[in-house]
Amino acid sequence: MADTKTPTAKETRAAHTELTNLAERARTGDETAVPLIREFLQRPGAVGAFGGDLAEQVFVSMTKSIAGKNLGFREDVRCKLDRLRAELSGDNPTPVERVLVERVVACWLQVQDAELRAAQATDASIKQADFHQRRMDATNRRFLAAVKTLALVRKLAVPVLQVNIAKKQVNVAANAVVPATVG
Amino acid sequence: MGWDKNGRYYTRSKRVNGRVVREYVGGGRVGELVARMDAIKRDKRETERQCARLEREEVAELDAPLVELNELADLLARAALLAAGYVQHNRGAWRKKRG
Repeated sequence: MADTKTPTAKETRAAHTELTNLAERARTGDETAVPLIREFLQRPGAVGAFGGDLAEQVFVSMTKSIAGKNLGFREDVRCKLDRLRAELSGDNPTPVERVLVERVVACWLQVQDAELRAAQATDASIKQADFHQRRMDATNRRFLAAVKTLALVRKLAVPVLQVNIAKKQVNVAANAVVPATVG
Repeated sequence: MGWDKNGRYYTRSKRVNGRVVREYVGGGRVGELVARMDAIKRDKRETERQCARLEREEVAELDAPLVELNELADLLARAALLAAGYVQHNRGAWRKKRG
């Protein structure tokens, strides 16, 4: 369920600081931090404070940069982003997955921008060509890392129900449909 | 680059094997013409440098929100994995915590 209220910058900063502190405590072995993180992630609006406005800001500025004044092309890019977002989100994404999908889509757009700029800089100096090449490499790395993180969270952070039926182990993800014929 | 001290000859300085060597181009109309061509080339290079700098600044401004988004998304992913009972070993693989 999407959060309808857009969080303010102050709320976003507060949520960011709170989660950073909890994650740091958990990283250093503080067992009491883990239930607090769980509670934080289930709190309505807490995850919504992460990245919603930022992602929109990225989409608007990058689309403008790629398409320029061509409004038709800008709309094409928007549609492509919507399709990509729908494909990656699936039917029932968790709030965390939604933020990670937004990040993947934003990184994909950045890769397109970097490649377009590099392709257009045909008579650039060696220094400028090097700058474009390094940006392309960096954006590609970030995009792959974003995809990897989404896949990792989908694989590990989904609550899984393990059922043993007639000596066969069946793992059922929280949002999966259990086939009626199992067992 | 410039005219010699008497203003009669146009000269250019260039580096040869690490040493600066002054090349005498000529005086009179030829010197003036070459001086103007060099000035145009210098202007062109300076304009290119300015354009490149502006583009780099524009790109940095464009990428800034995404850097922040990446940090937030990473933090959220880390939190989700910690909440699911996983721990990260030396910034590497995430493993289920025992016990």
